[in-house]
Amino acid sequence: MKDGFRQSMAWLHTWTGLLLGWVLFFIFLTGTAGYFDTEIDRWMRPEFPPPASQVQTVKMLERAVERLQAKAPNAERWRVSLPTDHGVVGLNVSWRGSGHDAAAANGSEQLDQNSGEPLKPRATGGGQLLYRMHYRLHYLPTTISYWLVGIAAMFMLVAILTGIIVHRKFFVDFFTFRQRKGQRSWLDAHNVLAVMALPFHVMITYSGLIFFAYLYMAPVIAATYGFGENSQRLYFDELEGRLARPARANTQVPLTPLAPLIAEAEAQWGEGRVRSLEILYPGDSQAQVSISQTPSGPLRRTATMVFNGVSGALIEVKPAIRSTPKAIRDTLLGLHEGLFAGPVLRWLYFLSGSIGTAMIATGLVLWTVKRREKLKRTGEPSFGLLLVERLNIGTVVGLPIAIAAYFWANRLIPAGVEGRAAWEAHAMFIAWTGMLLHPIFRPVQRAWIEQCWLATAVFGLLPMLNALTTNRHLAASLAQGDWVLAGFDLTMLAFGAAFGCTAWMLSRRARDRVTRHETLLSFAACKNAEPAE
Amino acid sequence: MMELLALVLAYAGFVALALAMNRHHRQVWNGEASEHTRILLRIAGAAGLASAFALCIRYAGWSVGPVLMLGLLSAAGIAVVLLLTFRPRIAFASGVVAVLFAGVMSGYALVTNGIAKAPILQKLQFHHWPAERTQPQEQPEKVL
Repeated sequence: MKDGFRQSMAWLHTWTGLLLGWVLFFIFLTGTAGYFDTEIDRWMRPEFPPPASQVQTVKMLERAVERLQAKAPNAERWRVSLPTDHGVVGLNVSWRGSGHDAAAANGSEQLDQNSGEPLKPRATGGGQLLYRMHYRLHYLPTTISYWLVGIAAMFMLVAILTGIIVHRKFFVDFFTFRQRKGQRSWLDAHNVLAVMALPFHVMITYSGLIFFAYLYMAPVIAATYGFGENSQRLYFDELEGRLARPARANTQVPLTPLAPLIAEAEAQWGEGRVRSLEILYPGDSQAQVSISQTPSGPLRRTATMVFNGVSGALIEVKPAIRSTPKAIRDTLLGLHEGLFAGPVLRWLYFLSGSIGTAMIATGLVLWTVKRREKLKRTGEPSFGLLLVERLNIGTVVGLPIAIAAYFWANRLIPAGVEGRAAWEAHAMFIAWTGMLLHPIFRPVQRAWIEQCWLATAVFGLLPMLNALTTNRHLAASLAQGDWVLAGFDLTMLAFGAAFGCTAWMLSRRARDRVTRHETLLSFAACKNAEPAE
Repeated sequence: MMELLALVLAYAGFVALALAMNRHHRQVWNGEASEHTRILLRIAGAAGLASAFALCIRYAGWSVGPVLMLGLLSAAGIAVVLLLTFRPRIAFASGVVAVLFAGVMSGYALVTNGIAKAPILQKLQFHHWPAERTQPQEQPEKVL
């Protein structure tokens, strides 16, 4: 019975892992890149000046509000995100319109932290678009991609749990990687990558499901609130405590000075701990100013101070934890996003994400290696095996190449081109399509090597392209101590080097195989040529 | 800086735990470990991981500390696997060096009036972004 159980779990592991493996690889890779979304944003908008840390919170906020006053005086809501908010780059303002054409009156701008002037960067989806792809599968409609991502995440969760059951020697093989042993090596690598970051894999997959649980388990909400868009909005308004919002009075009253409010918030939370500021009905007698705290841990909802927008009196302090179930959800989502993480922890998140991505890749390759090894005895490969081998190349190496193509497009598409931002993403998917098609026409071994060399070139040359098209090249950013831009270029060089080493190893191994073969042949030929005595 | 100390301790702990296993013991020294050595190595390994965890909790708190610890464990674990694969002979030596390094670091920190007050640690607190150290500089932009 036990063997039967293990075997059925192994079957489940194999097929849940394989069926959506390439989707999962896409989700993990773009999601991992997303841990550096704002860093990528900065690289993709080289027009931005390096962030200035010396500017005081109050000064930045006042400039931002001045800008909003000029840009959207009649908005329903203003929002100012400070550089302390890792979800946006630098100083960011956004506004929401009111009335029927509300959506048309929405907008956002990036401001210079020193002058408060709006920055005019090139049109780009930036790191945010790359990060959003991992749950909002670019071309697909929103609901369909959420469902597809949800199904993929569920498959992943099943694959992780069955994987733990199937793994016979969890502790004995904890540190084991036996190299140059074919299938054995791939299995070892898959196991080690899975075990070493197992808590991360479980957390990221489970919390990923929680994100859209309201969609996957809509009837639970519908049981109380009923079906339809309005009832769902009511649910979210109640959940976020937005129901107690006052109505607009439509009387013009100037906004209270913000400096004392910021001072009060900073006195409570510490200097530089203000993340964002939201002004409801600016200029109205019912105006409210909400100031939010920077998260200091995985709980992504933080305390908010709500002030009267006319008198400046503190109305209430909304605590970070308003209900236990919601706090659990907020913590899981916060853990998933990792916005609270400083640079070291962020790199560790990136490392864990990369380990997850590599785990999926080794699993996909293992599936083919296992079947290839069996073929040595039984003969012709099936269509399925040939297909999986090619999909693996086009995804495991092809997708990184496509992401590099996204960065190349960012530097090469001229600034004035219409739909520029969209074409960056098109470039990525065109490149990916090319990489998926290429292995069809090549022998498997050659296709791996060729795509690895291509990846070496596109990543390794990216800093050079950056130097040719902007003046924010590696030497300049190092000299300025701009570690975000320098870090991006250096990381690309490292990826180039890693792909280069892989390509070199693969081609050496392919050559070895041929040489050994030839040696054997010539050995046999010599034997045959020896005159019999 | 504190993270580096914790990483080094976690690494040393993992090395000791690996060497307590017969398979890896054989990779480093000839023959299997005696029961006595194995227990000693296991205790050393547990101590390394426990001190790394204590450091994480002490400096990052109960909310971020465990997250940091798990991240560091992944990094240290992968490092130990690579080491045992490609340079098994220096595994034990690297563990000893890691412990010495951790000792020197914490010794320095303690001498300069408690770890939290060590100037080098204060300068490199982990929630400080490197980007914040940059100077604002205006440069004309060359756009293609």
